[in-house]
Amino acid sequence: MKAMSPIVRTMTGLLFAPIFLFGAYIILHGHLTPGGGFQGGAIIATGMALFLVAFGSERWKKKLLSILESTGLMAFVSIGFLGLVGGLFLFNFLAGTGSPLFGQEIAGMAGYAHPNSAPLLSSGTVALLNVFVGLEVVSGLTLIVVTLGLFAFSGKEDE
Amino acid sequence: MINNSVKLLFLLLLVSGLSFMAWGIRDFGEPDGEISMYDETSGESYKVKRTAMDDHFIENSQSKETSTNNAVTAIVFDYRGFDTLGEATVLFAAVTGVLVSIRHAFKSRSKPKGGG
Repeated sequence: MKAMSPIVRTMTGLLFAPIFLFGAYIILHGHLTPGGGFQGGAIIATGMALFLVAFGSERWKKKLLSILESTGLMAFVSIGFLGLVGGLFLFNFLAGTGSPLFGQEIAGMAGYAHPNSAPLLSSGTVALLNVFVGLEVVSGLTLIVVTLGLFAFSGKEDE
Repeated sequence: MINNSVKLLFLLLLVSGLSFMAWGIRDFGEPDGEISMYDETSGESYKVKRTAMDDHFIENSQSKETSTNNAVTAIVFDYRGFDTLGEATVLFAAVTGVLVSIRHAFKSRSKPKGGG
């Protein structure tokens, strides 16, 4: 794949970090604001596609990407099975327990005093599942775009 | 190889089990319920159909049950978590399909006439 002009490459270098940061924000705040793992993962994968098109890079770590994708799905299922301590598959066993891992309660909920403010470390397993789904979506969509793009424009497999 | 009759028996068992389960599902929107809403512009109150399940989600998603501020995420990742697991599996299957088919295409492209 050929790289694009220096203008596009410079702008991609400038924009890549904000796109990545925005996607990470959408994933990590999935339990507080609109968004979540799927949406934020798609945003970061868009940044990766921009990187691929602008620089024409052919050296992607496909093995690492597919390992990351499998890790995300496996972690999702594992958290689901950990929920069996509460008696149900995917039971939210961390919510409201006060544990440092996403266990905080939402303050000021009595009488809906502050319905739109909540600590980042609330919501139990929901935030963890968001993070792992985000990991899976980022690596999965990047893998699809990179594989199809390299197949269409380069003509040889690099592995 | 598994015999065809065994496959047919398994299929019949699966279909009968699934239809038996579908028989026990509640009707759409059940259990029933109504709440009264107040319209501020006209000053009239009116009834709105809302099920007990909706009330449960609205009242409990932000409290100790999930303590998730975003009620939509609470439903998607907690109450309906199994559905989200299926969604993630669909993406995984899509990636697997792309990789497998593209690998075959690469091989068939580089193999004939020994040139690349």
